[in-house]
Amino acid sequence: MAHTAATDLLAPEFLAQLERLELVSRKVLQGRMKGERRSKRKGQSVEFADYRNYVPGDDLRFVDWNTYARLDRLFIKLFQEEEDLHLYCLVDASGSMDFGEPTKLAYARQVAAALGFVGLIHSDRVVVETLQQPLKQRSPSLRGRGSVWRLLELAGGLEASDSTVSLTEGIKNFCVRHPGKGICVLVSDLFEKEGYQAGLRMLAARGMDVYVIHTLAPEDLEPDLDGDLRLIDCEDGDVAEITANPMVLERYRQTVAAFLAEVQQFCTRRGMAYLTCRTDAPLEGLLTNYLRSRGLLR
Amino acid sequence: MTQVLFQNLLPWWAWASVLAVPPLVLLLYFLKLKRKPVEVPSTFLWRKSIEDLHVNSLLQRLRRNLLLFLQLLLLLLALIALTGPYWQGEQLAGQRFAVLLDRSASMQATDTPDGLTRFEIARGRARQLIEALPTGAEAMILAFAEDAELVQGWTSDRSELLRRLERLEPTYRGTSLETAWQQLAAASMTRVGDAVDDPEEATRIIPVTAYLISDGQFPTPESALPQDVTVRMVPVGRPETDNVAITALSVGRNEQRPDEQQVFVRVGHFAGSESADTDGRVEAVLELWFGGRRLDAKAIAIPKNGATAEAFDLVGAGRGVLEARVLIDDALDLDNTAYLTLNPPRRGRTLLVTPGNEPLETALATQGAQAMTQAIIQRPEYLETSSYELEARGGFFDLVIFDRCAPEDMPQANTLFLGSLPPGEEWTSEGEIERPRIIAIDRSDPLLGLMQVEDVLIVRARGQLRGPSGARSLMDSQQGALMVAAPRGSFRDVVLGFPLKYPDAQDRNGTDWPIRLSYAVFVLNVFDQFGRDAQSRDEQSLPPGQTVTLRNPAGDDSVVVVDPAGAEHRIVRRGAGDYTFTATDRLGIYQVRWGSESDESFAVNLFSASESRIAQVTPDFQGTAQVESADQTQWVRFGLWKYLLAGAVILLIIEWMIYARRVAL
Repeated sequence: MAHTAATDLLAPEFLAQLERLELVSRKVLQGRMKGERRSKRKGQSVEFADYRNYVPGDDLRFVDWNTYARLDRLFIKLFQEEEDLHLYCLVDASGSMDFGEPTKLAYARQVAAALGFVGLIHSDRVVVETLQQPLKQRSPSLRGRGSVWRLLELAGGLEASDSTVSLTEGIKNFCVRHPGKGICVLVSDLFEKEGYQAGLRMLAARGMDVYVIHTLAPEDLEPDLDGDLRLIDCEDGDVAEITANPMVLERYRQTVAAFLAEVQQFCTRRGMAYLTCRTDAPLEGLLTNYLRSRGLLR
Repeated sequence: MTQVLFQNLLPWWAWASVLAVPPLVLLLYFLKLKRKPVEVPSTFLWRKSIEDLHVNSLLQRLRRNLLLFLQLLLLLLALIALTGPYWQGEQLAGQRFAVLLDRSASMQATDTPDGLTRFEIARGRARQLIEALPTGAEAMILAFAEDAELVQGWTSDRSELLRRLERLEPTYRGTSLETAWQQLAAASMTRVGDAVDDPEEATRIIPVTAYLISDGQFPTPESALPQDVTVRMVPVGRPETDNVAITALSVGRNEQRPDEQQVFVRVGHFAGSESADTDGRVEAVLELWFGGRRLDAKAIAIPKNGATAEAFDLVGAGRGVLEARVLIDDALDLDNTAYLTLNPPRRGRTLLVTPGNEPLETALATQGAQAMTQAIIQRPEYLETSSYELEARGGFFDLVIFDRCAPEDMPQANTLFLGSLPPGEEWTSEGEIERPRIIAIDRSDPLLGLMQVEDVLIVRARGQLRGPSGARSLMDSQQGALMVAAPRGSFRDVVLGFPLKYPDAQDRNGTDWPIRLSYAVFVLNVFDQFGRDAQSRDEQSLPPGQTVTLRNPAGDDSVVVVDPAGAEHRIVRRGAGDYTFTATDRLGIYQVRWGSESDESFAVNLFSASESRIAQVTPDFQGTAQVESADQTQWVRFGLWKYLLAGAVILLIIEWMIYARRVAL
């Protein structure tokens, strides 16, 4: 698929709307640079956070002498330190994402570009990666408004991969590449035969602020099929023979609805935000309405 | 009965090839080559969906595949068409058909499997015939009993024929084919007016097949049918059916006790034509009812194929209805009951117009004559009066005796002319006969029964006495008739060619009959036959369908007759004092109401041995018609293959429409 032009990815009017938004983390996260975020990491700032026992070698300037006078024991003061917010846009670029009109992958590019843009203009760190990229391939960490064009190039250059890397393996590779915390937005159709649960558990266990944007095309939800068919899986070539009739299609719709409900319940139980979006729904609505209501943007 | 039959049109190997086609079609539908490959993002959810449904099962595939079913159905129709199915039914062959339906009294017998009357069975057969008419054929319906009625003329409109057929009702009358034969012969001609300027064409016979639906109990018609008319007999009823019937009912004087009356009943047994046992007797119970009460009953034994006469004493019975009933379970009920009315005898009115006739006037004054008639004696001048004209025209008198005189117009009454002729040109005489001797009299006539008149001397009589058409001589001499009687409508005129008086000094003409014993008998006979009230139909039974003439001396414009079913018939006066009633089809008692009272009644009974003999017979037409049995049914095949193939073509069109829709999508 040809690279999507940066200007085709997000319309200028939409970019103007996005400038008014700001990423919000539901958790206080550890960043690398001093941004405008609260971080749980205890460092040198003016705001007292906590005590710990004195061990030889600690800086005596941080000993709390009042507590020593009372308790005749030495304690070191700990302070909260202000840090940067990391936004990780993790896009599923498997073969199944290359279906639909527009394709789910195209939609995912737009989501990654939009969220990344919001992060960059507020000096957050933005990383856009795919699940299918090799373990050792690290995407650059972008920061500042000057990196917007680069962001758009990266997002627009995401293409469907023939790689057989599963969802779980891709998330695992991501977690290895990025041990830090931040906001992780996973854009995927979750069509994983090995199951999505293991991968999402990994994300949840990282303590990151996880948003699962379950992207589906209208063809995934209401397939227009009829007659005796041999369905071929585009990723692994698996074949399923069916006779598509109203009863079978109704059964499929029920299965899809059950699947979506199951994923939502899984994510909710693990503190992950979940939303289903159709590729025929306007992106503006997703970002300005839904993600704002869920707390990712403000 | 129609049924569907099949015939084999193909050899065995062709059948094997044909029968292999449906399985091949089924097989083709299950070949995997038929599946259309479609790439999907993932089969992940599809597998979850179908794993419980077993959508690859045979039933699912069959349910979905409408085209498969249509093709199999089409093949099935074609296969059945190849077996050559056809209806085997009866169809009438020809162009014109006549249905002759017997509706006489015997057709009301119930010797049928379903307990229906023969008439209902016959109507059902007629219905079948009409429904089996070939397209474009014409039919007509003739219903006959004693006469024939053209119920429906030539028409190809089956619904009209059926409608008319359903309106027919049976009658209580006897049977005669004569009129039906004549009507059929006339109807078999080409219809007049059908472009027939050519007289030869107008009389051309179109072959007609006539279906005669009857029990066969009718006399052989005398007239013959044209050769182009073929009669097919459709018998109704059973040959072995017996019947018991009352064939006579009358009231007479008890010979042992002359002041009492007796009722005489004759009961007959009519054996079936195939009845094996003709010996022995049939037992039944005979009841006598009067005024709604049972007077008497007795067990009777009727000789098989014979009759028995029974007598009942009738003591103190006044006016009322007499009813005789035979209690027996047979196929025809309507002849098991007979009716008679008993009315006190009423005196008639007799006008004697005479210049003077002492013997006659004396005879009128006797107790016996007075009991029968009220006599009024007038001189000939009376005939000129308006009073006479009114009374004569109004039917005031039952008998007018013109003694040596004659009116200008005949009165509405019976007449007896003594020595004079009735007015008009119909009665004639020439010259005179001197001293005629009576050589013969008609003793069968009620006027002259039980008389000896050969010794009567006559001075002079009119010669060559003749009357109008229908006149017959009652008394003859060597030189010609001396007494002639002729009917005149409902009346009777009797002309005596000589004056009925003893010769005297003024008139030497005459006869010595008045001094003979037979004179009194003759006079009483005259009064008895003519002098009573003509409507005194005591102890008389009329056959069904007979026209009855009623007379009301009061001159009312109408009279009401109530038939046995209770229906009222208002009869308007026809002429001077006469009322003609023709609706005597039902059996039973008819009440005649003058004004608001029921003054009299009369009875209608079957009393017909020909109708009571109800066994079905095959009539012998004695060459008057070509007769075939309708059992020679003509089987016609109505092939069904055309309809099956038409159905297959329609299926093919539907299949194409469905296929075209699918391709377009």
